[in-house]
Amino acid sequence: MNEHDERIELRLTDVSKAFGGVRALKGVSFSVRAGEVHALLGENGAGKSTLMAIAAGSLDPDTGSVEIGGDPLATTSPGAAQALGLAVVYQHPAIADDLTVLENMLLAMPPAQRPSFGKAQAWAREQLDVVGARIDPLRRATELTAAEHQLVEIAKALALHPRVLILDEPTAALGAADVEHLFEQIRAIRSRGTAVVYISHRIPEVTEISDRVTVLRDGSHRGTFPTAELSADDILKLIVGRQIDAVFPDKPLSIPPAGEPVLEVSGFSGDAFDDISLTVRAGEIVGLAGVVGNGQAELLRALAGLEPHSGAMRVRGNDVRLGSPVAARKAGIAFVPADRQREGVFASLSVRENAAATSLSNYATTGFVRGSAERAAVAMESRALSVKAASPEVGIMTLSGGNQQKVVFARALLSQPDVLLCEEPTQGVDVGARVEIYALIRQLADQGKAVVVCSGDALELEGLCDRVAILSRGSIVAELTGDAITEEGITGAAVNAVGARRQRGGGTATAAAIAAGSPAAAAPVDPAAPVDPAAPADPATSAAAASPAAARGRSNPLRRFVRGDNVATPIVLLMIVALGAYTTAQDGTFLGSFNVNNLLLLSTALILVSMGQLLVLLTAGVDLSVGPMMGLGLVVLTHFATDDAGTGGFLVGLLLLIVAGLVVGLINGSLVRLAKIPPVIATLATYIAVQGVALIINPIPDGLFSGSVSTTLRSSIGGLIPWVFIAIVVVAIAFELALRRTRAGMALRAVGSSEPTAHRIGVRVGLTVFGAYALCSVFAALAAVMLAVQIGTGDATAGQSYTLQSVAAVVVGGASIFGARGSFLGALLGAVLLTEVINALPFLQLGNAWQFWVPGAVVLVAAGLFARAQKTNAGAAPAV
Amino acid sequence: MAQTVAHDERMSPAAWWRRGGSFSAIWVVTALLFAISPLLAGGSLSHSSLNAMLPFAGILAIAAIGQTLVIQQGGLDLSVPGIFSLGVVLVTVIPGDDPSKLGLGLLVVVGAGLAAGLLNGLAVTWVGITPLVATLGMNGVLLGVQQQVTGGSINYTATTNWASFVGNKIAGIPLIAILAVALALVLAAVMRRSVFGREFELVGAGPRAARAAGLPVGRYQLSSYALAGVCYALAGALLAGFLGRPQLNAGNDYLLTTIAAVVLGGTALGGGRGSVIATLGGVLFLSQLDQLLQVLGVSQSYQYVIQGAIIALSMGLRTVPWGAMRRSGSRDAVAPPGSSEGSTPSSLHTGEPVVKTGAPTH
Repeated sequence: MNEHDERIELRLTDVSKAFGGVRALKGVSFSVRAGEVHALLGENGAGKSTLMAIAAGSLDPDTGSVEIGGDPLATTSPGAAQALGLAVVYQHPAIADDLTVLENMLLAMPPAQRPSFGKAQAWAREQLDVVGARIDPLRRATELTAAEHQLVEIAKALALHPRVLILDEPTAALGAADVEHLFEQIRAIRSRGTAVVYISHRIPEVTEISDRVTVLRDGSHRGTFPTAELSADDILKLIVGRQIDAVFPDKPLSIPPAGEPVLEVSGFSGDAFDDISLTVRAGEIVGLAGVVGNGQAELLRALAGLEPHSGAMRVRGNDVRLGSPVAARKAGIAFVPADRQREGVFASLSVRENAAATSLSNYATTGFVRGSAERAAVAMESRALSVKAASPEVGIMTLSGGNQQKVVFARALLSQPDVLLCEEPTQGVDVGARVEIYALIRQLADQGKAVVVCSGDALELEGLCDRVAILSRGSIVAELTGDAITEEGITGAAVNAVGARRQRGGGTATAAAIAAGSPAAAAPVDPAAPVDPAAPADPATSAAAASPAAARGRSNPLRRFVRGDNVATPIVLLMIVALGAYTTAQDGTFLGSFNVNNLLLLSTALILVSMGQLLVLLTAGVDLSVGPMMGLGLVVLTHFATDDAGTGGFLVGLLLLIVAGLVVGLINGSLVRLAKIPPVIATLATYIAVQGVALIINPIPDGLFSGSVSTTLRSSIGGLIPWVFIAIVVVAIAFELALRRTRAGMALRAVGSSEPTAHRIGVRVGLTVFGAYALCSVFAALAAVMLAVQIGTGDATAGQSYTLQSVAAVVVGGASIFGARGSFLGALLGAVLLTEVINALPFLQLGNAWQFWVPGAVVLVAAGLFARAQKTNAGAAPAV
Repeated sequence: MAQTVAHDERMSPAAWWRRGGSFSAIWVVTALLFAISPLLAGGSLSHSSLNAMLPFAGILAIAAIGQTLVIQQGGLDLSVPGIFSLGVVLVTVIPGDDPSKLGLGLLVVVGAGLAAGLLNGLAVTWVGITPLVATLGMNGVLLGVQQQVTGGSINYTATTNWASFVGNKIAGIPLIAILAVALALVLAAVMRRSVFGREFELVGAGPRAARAAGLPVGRYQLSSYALAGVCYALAGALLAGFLGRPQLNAGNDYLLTTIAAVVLGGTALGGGRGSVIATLGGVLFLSQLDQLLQVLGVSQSYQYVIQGAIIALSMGLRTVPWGAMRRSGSRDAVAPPGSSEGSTPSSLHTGEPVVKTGAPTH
């Protein structure tokens, strides 16, 4: 007992929240004292995450209020909650994949606590040391393992020195040693008076670390108790609210089932698993278990043809072509994925269309589907599975999660498979539907199908499976059958294998395993489940385990550069030089000062508009309206900045130009951000409209740009390098530095990496997107000035080709069309290269067609290479 | 058991809209436009006015049908000008002055459209280039081919037999318009009824779900570009026949208008449900608007502005999260019903790289 005890640091009062018709929270009140660890428990869907999202300001409650450190949370924003002293460690870390670890950490810090750029690296190392993570801060987040992601997320939260720290399943991805380290840190900050909310499914962890426990069930508060007063069983009963074994259907009495082998796999190897051999017989349910990230999910997906792999696979004795989901389906394999939202359902289609998706040819004669046969089959199957839907024609998304999952099962069944693969079959499914799904799976096995279930829920496997294979580091380390299949046995085998790995690393395995809360670590391991003693000693695997550990400390600078955003820059520079040399060899006047000066001057317009384009591309958008915007700018300039109007006229024209750019940019931003129109269409609409406005002003080319201003802008050093070009290079360097070093630059890339993640980090996504579009149009407007220098007359359509060219220049410069990755220097050089190509054509005696071919081909090749590189990178990403 | 057999009965307005009612909206708007046309400008609905409009509407429709297929597959085709112009050039250059070679010319047109479309599709599905960049680059390459073939201008006119065929009328209706409607009806039937069409729609609606279910995703995406290529090339050939002496850059006008017609029709960008019939509605709307503005004497420039505004408006009406806006102060974080907190992206479980959720249309 200390003086912290009475102060309430986080108070949620009478909070309710509904999603559509589903009431996720029903008047929940919850408070956390200073200096306590308060565990928040409940099943999936009980409302824990919703409650914490409301506390963190990322979700607006329908009713109720939030107080942090005694102050009410006035606005619903993660930034406001953070300002009051709240920090969240999300189960799915709020980390932008395309940014480095350092950038992610800096972005998460409020300005007052952010270190200067020079000290940032040392600061980041310090914060990472606190959580015991030996990670190079300069590595890109996408290269990290799940556990490293989690540690970075925790380090970020601790660095804020919060009053309230929310930990949402922080140990899901962590090994035993990391968990023990985390608990030490939690105890340390608790003693400093921080209020900690600890959300977990793992009851042993909860009993070890928490002071009080609050249980949610079906969105309601079921009580708050001192942890010491509850046994593990008590807690389990509070969470579940019923007897567990009632849920599962009876297993067949004859063990093992006498069916013939249906699915046979041998020598199966992939990125995340090695040399797996497995046979599943008719009527058998085989479980795949293991600590998250040990290859079991990848193995299941590989069986469905969704992961690259080698080895042999046979269904009912027939060889199946590997790595092809289509071949797997045709061989009689049906897959029920875990990620129902993205991989399970076709969200925009009806229940019927979802259910019939893979069995259409069964209802077809000569390639045409008979509607009556389809409807009858779907109706029969949904009745059998008691899918609760108003009609087979309603949208799948109007159904509850459990009923959606039943439709996915119905689809699998309608295709009459021999093998059913289920990945986390009851994830996000309510209790009632869960019981039905378990019964269904057992019923299918009884019908003679071979079933494989991959689940992170050991209890589920215990209740459901006839046999469970436990994977660790991609190998099957234990296999349990019959009565030996217990939650403790499964968890024990998995954790013991992990413990062995940690031990080799010099850690204290046993203590760590106990700390991890595995009951099996303390209990004797089931004799039916001998942990393969050969696996840890395998020299190949220990070498493999040692090398990433060595790489973890610091990645070498060359490797970092190759994976960095500026990788294309030197290549493009080399291409510029090579093309220049080749063209000069053909015609010496190419490198003459007149042509060089001309080339650089010509490139300025494209460079400017490309820099604008890059800003938008970094947010994962695109601005097609830049071309007409340049035409509009040209028209405006030739109206105002004439010779008669003098310098004053030019300045008025310039001002109007920038205003016009801002207006167009804000329209683009509004269409994309507020009206939610995809960027391509939004800016296509403004493309047409802006072109129209320019043509209204100048239906035919008219007006003459001021000769004196033009001469000034053409002036150069020694007739070789135009001053404007130098100025633009300086601007590009400044933007490049800002992109790497300022919060705005990091925010821009974070938004492009993932908008939801950026929002959770606290980036103002809307403002960033608006800013990018506005700046892009202003850049296009400025480019119009250099276009005016080139063309002179107000031709409203003169800018059109710049839309394609700006995208081409930016892509050639190494930017990703998917956002978040790109470089201003790359864009600059890309623009110079494209201009050089066009400029070189007459010197090379190449015809007009080349003017179209070269940019087109360059874009295709650059984008193609980039797409290939990304694929290889993804393949090379650490899988364990 | 809440399983009711009678469908369409209890459908809420929202469900009706989602079930394809959104494709009817364009017909209501188009009907309104036709209704007010004679009030605004007397001659805008006359026989001669319609006769002038329909052939061009038919050509636009055939190209827009191709664009619909691509957009329905989550793609976007910016190579319309290139392939369209290829059709224009080949149907005139291959036969030259010899009408008997028209058959060969048309064969080459279809073959070239198919080949260009396949290249687009391969660049997208096999190489993995985003549709925007792939088709933009392909467009440049194709315009180069056209430059190379013609040397910068078309020196032939369409053969007499092609011109007279294209200029035909059946029961007073321009043949081109009839062809366009027939193509749309056939495709619509294929999409609704055939295994190919149904699976095509499934892949468009959810490529990841389709892959997990074992449908050949790449093949359907590829086929959309290939079919679209044939559509554009044929549209170009028809325009060449109709105009007799076509412009080299005739295809340029068809890029934005095809996309506009698809968007107006209500096919979702980024993939999902699509309707070639609704695209016809979009084409008819745009063509009549064009006609009306011309009769009113509005210059082409203003028409561009109006077109842009209409695209933005029609997209906005469909995409603005009105429901979310009505709930005060709510944010994008609103989860759809059924997405309970427990359902997490599998990538986070398997440790595979997280796939970005951004729409793959650009």
